[in-house]
Amino acid sequence: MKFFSCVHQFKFTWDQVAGCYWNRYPNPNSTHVLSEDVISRHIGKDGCLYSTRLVTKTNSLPKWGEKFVPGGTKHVHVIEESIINPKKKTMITYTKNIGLTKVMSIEERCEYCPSESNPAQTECQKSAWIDSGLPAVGFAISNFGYQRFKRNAAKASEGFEFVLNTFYGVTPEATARSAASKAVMLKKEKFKETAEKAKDLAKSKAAAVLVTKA
Amino acid sequence: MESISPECQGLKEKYDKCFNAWFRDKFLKGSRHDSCAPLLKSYQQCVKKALKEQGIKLWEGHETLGTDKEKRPPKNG
Repeated sequence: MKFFSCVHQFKFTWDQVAGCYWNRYPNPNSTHVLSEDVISRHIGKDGCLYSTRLVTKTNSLPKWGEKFVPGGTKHVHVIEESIINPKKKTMITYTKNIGLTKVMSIEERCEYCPSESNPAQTECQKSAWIDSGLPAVGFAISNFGYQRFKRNAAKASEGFEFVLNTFYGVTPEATARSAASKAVMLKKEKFKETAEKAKDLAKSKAAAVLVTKA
Repeated sequence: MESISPECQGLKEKYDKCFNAWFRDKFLKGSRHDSCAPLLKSYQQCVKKALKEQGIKLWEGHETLGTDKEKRPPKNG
């Protein structure tokens, strides 16, 4: 069993992140997600929202791993459970594949809460457990799964961030960034303008020279 | 986003639209009345039928979150 964990800070409030969670697909980094459906949903006595969704993803095993997949299954079903506590502002999501678990099982737990250092932002603590029940090659497969998960964890957060930006517009930080780049653009344009003026001046001077010469 | 079955797409879109607005404007602001429940019911029935046709058994017994099966990250310190 391999264990992976990371923390991602979203530059959006917890309400924005939770509100957008259900719309995080599609995004430029989610081409592997084929479908998503709500299986069950209810509000518990504790006031929390309990949801279970079924997500279908493409199954991308390396060539050497494909022979362990019965019938060469091209996609894998994933169950995504979540509990959202609007009072405490916590959202826990738990995702696991329900097909091909003997070949490779991935369980992912994410906990979203307002960041302690900056309550206007949201922290996501992501943990994942990757395992394979296959004899002999199990270690290689879980190692492959671990490396892939590690590579894709940042991409998944970036994809979510992309959707947040689309929904809620740019963050103050992004505005500052874009203002800075606008200033650079203006400077560049000014420079271009000056350069053009200099060119015109040179041209007119050259023309004047030509006129005098003629 | 697509539904697992094209037949349920229309129902899914109607429900999702209702849910998204309810979730942001009502649930997160303290309301506990799920006004999208009737739409969810017809959408769920469609998905349930589609899963049966596709041989996907998952309607019950897959709960992990909040049960003993839920894995927890090791606590720091």
